[in-house]
Amino acid sequence: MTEWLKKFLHALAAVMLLAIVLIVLLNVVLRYFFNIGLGWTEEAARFLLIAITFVAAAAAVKEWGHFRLLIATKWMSPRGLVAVQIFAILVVLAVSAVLLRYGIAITQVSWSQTSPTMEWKMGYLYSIVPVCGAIMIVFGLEHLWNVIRGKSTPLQSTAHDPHATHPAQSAENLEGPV
Amino acid sequence: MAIAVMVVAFAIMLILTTPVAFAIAGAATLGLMIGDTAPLLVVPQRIFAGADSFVLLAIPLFILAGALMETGGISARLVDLARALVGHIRGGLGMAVVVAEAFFSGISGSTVADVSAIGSLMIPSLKRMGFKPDRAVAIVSASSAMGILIPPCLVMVVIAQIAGLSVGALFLAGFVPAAVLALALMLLIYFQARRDGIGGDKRATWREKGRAFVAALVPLMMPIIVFGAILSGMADPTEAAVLAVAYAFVIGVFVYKEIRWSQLPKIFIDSAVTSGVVIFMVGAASSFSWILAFEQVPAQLAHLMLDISSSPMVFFILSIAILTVLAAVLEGLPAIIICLPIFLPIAAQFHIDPLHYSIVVVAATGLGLFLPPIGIGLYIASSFANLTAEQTFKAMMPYTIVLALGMVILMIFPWLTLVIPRLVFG
Amino acid sequence: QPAIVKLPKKITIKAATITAESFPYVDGLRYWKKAVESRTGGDVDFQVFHTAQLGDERTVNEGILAGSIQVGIGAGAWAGFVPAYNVVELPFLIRDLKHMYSLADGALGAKLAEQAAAKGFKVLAYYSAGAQHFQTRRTTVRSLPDIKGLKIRVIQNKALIDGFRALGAVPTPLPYPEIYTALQQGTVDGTANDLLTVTSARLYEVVKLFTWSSYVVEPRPVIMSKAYFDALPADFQKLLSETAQEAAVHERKVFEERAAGALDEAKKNGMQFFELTDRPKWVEASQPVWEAFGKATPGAAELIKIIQST
Ligand code: NA
Ligand code: NA
Repeated sequence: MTEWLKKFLHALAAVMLLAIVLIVLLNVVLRYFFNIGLGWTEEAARFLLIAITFVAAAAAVKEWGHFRLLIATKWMSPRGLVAVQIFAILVVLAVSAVLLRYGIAITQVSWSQTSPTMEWKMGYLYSIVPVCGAIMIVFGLEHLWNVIRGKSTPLQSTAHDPHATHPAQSAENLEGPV
Repeated sequence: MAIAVMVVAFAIMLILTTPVAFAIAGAATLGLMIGDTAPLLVVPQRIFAGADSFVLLAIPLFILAGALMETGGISARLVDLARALVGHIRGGLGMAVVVAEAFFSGISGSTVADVSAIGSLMIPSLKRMGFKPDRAVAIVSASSAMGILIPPCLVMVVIAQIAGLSVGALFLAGFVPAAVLALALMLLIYFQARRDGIGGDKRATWREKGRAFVAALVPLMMPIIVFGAILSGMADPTEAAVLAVAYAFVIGVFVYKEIRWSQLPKIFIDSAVTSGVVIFMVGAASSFSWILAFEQVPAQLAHLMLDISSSPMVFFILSIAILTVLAAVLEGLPAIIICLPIFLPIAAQFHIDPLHYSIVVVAATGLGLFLPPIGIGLYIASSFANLTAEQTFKAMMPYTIVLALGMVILMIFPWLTLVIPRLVFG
Repeated sequence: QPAIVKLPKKITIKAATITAESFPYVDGLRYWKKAVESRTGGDVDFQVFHTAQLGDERTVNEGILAGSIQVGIGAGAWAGFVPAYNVVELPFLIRDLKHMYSLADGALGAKLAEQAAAKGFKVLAYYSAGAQHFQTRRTTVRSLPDIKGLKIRVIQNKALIDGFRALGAVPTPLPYPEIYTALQQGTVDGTANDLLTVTSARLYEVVKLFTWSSYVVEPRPVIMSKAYFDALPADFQKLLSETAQEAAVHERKVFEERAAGALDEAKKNGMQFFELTDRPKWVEASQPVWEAFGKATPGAAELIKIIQST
């Protein structure tokens, strides 16, 4: 179920990135070769970037793929490690709750506000914040459940390297100079 | 009070493996709860506003371009050429990265965007050439930190506005300092490469060089397109990134035919998610910097510094140290926007040349972004080598030291900054 | 000597603008700060934030409604809440500074304040953003055909974009910090700014041709949250309103003085100045945009009528 949700978020983010490419490209071509200024393209691309940011950030909670500092884990006992993982998950849950609760508040404040160029309702756009906050809570609770049952959150922080030709490559390459 | 709690809480969360973006946003939430009255709504609002930037659009676009170049065989051919040209020099490709970053860094105004671009293009190539991944990250990071001094640079445009300086003068002032830092970095790369036996191929014959050049003709068009588009006025940096995407796509899919259509969804997903994670962190940092400004922390810091000492050099070093640390956590532009309006008038009281001061500020933001263990640029660069940031701290150390020494030299010798602007503007 | 107004408890007022410290808005806000603080005997801590330290204009406006910021200067993004305010961005509708002052202090200002109140904002006064004129790289703009096909940088605003399109130009939205490099490298052929922006952004380094056109002359509302304002003690409300007006007078004066200095600076740096030779033609070309905007935007038609009859 949550796996399916993550895949959906991934697909959504990818489609929005494709849309950014096409919109910005269209604007350059029309302006430079045809001397036509569309006007709305900058705003549309920015809004898509905001949406990608929240959608991707939510998906990355599922993969536990946000940047983390792992240096302290070297000196921790297995039990300490479990405690630390639970702590980190609780912080993520708390911040997600702020995104949900106060994302609703900012959506309400902006409900009647329109954007300068396309004259979209900013409230619609802001509503992506509480929605993604809620999704983060779902993913976070899943991690909490797993850790309590004795599983670990993924240790590698960089789930998405678009250039990883060898996905497994990591710390073992690091032992000193050749 | 609120600020102290924020900073301590942030440090604790960071050490206890909390995802950085959530540690920043969590600390900001705490700060809002105990500081001057402002609703917690500021946190989602600032993350949203942090992502709301046309400049940051360059991040997903350059990451996508890099992925397409790598999968489509463009990067490999570029590396072959660099190998043929400078492969016989120890660490030659590392030096090529320094040169590439000199041009690229700072164009977009977001060093995070720059390092995403060059990092995604160059780190895989450096690894293929025999550099350890952590060393590759260090070279790209240090080069980005240096390259921010070379125009075009959006941070300088913003500083010019705040400081009432000429944009042109600031652009010119950056060249000599950048050259000093670039030279120091290249020497370091050379000595490390010699010690570790990297590069040093047999010198390629002219025929081999020619062959590599012909093979790289199509890929070589890539930087020409990006820079040509910007410098000819066809496109702004974000738009140039989209031209790079289009070019890499056409070459990879239709010319080299090394990208299969079935690979494209994964390329797009990975690029979108990586950028989203990066920009979410930038947004979270913007909630933190908002609270610093809201609580008037920069002004208090200024008072504190004046209390500590009336020596210009002490002020100089302290203010630059503060800026470096803030840039590490917040990105360059936000750090400059909250600090510079406070620091510049004090610098003027101490008779520090504003142009000189501003250039050191630019260098400090470059250094801060990649400062272990907090520079967010380092986290991003690390991700392109599939490493965690702390796996790169050790390799980053010598580069950090070189950059910091370079900055001290810039502080002590205003001449380095002022010589070219004085030559041109009199 | 006016009487000291006491408040039931000490309060902090945070006023935010996106402009640099050297812009007259900041002078206006600081003048207001002094007036308020000195007449409340230390009960009010009035803090002024500039250079977008507390965020861009949209987030400041939202912050005012949400209670994180108390005072702001409404500009383009404010029309997101009060759509008819965009009449001030219609080209060649407001004629010059004098016309703008009398509108802001008269029927237009009152009507706008009424519309803003319905959206939760209290308008206390109107600052001047100066008169905007054209700056171009290569083509000297003297008559209407000159601007045809020129790529002109605009801020993200539908009224401005439609306006430039009606004049025959190619409106090109660009973020503010990119103006300098875009002009330097020719991504755009020109821009439209007030004199102060031309000098503070050093645009004269990259564009040399300046055409006096006053194509828009914008009054900028000083805004608070209506709910916040209404909850203040009545005598303090009165004090805020009065001093806000005094500060606006000061801001306008500072703007005019500084613009005169900016003109000298621009001239010294090689900028050449030209006049429009066929202003009626520009007005004529703009009229369809006014009409379309008046029809499409609730509350705009009555504002346009006020402007035309003043
Ligand atoms: Na550079
Ligand atoms: Na640069």
